[in-house]
Amino acid sequence: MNLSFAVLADQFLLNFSYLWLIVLATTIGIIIGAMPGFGSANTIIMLLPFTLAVDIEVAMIFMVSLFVASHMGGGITSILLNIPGNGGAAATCLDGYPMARKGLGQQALVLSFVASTVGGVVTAGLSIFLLPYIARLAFYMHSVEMVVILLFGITLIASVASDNMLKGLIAGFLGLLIGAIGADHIYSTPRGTFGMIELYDGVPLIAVLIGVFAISEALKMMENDSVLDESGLEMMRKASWKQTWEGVTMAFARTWHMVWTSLVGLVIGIVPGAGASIAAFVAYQQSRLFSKTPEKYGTGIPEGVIAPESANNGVTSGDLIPMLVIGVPGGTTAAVMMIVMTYHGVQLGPRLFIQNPGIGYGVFITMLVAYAVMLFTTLPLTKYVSKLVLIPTPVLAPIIIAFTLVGAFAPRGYMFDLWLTLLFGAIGYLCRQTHFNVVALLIGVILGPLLEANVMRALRISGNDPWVFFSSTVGNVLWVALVLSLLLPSVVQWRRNRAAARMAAA
Amino acid sequence: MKDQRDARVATGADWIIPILGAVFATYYLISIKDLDWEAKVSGVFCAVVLFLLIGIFALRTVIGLARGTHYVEWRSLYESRKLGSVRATLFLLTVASVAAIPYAGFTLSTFGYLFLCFLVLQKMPARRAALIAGSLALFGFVLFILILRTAFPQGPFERLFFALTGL
Repeated sequence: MNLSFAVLADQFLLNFSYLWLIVLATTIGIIIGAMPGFGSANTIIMLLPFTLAVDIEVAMIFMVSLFVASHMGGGITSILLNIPGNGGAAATCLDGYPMARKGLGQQALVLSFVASTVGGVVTAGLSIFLLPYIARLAFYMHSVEMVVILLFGITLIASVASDNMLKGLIAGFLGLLIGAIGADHIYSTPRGTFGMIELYDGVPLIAVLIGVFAISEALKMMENDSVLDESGLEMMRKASWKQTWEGVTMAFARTWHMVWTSLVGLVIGIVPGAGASIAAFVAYQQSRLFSKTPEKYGTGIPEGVIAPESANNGVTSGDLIPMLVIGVPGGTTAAVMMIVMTYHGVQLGPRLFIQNPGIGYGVFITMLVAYAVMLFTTLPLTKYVSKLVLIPTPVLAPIIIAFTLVGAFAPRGYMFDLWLTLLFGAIGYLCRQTHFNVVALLIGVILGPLLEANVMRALRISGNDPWVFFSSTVGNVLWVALVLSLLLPSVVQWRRNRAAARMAAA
Repeated sequence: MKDQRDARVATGADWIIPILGAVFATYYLISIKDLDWEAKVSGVFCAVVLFLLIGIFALRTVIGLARGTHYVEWRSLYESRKLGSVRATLFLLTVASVAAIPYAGFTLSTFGYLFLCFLVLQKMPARRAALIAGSLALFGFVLFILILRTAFPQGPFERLFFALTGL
């Protein structure tokens, strides 16, 4: 993997000569990213006639730009409407939407865009220079390590449910049980499917996402004429460029936060099969854990937007590294890209960087350029996009329902999924009205099946030996980190209480 | 009296989710009873923990009711009669719209749904409601069906459009 300055410079020039294509692809990517149910993989599949017809360099610029933009776009609806565009943006709702309700939607959008850009740029830059070393991580991450990483994410159930732990845990475990619907991973026998063949592959995540977030939120928002409270309305009416600048300064005041959470995304992204949703939830959970004010998470604080967004975009580099270096796609979009690259005669694996270093490293150069382009195209739009929340709710709610239902139908094309979405909409509404945390429910549905698959795989490989979970060095280090991350907040809180008691006594 | 009631915890409506959860967990356990252990271990674990949590929830509620710290109410489900009817209207219109898709297609069902919602919920003048709903339905048709090729069942509008344009 000989990295030369000439290759990088050549790729930068190539990307700048196709700036129009990057602008087009990022625009499409942001739009589809903001629409639940429409992912970058589906869009690239639809545009295969284009990517197969043009040169591989042009095809890669288009696909990579669209891919990274879809990750950035997911946060827009999470922040403004509490409706995540994709699983990776679900954690952004936790603090993004409360910020928007307070009239800080413009700042939250800017935070999301800047954090996404920094996350994407840091990880793409690191990937260029540390590619051989980062790629090795994929070899150390097996099902055992994945189990611990997933447990990091699942512990977030307890964190988000801290205001009513019992109800939150009920929602979380109900989510885990819903996630266990469908054929099992070993024998493919159906479980809890009510005899419906549409549920054999499990409950479609998009239907749950749209139901518990979009439909229930649309029903809930009818209680007021506006999404915003009175002070929020007042602030939004006065929205100007000042708020955009405020968002930028808020973000860069937390530069280190953006950097380390993006690295969480990079590491998780490298693991084949682990995706943006895991990365975003784990980063949010870790951010809350190391915060001096964890109680403020969920009330609309910048760190709560930065952490999931940086990680969500840190995943983009990590997703592509295994595909380029060892020929194993890290996610669905990477798999589609792999098909296009193979069609163009590109040999993936270590030889790629000897035979075609321009394409290998060009992927990350395209990411750098695409993120820079997106920052300059999205930031000026935040002032206008954030006005979406000024639409009266009796008009906004039906529009949200009509267009998000399309997203529930699109991935599989079953009318069944629309009815399932309405069912989850009703469940989500009941949860919201009776204070059962819908995010806890969603975490269970997203991470439950992944955890089960990895636990089963590890047990199968080891001949059902439970000690397999403590058999690897990396896994054991992660176990220690998990135990520490669970104990540390209590220890810190205990020390703070003791210090406060001493102060009061003095 | 009101202050006293405010200090107490409302219960009743918050039983719906635990009951649904318990019913589903019971069904799930029955559906997997004959499977190999690998296929049911995770489901059994989740269901058992869920039952345990619901048990604690039940115990806490019963003790709360006995001590007078809890009181039964269902109002939190709909908040007020007016708001409840608005939400019910929106949900029923949504159900009707989904039911109409196989016959009317995406464009007409979306138009009808949005038009009725604007008319009933926002009390918008009919002409304005038709104009906005029509524009949005057409936008949806162009974006989702023409560009993104979403395979919705075709209705009269889609069939007419494709027959006229030959697309």
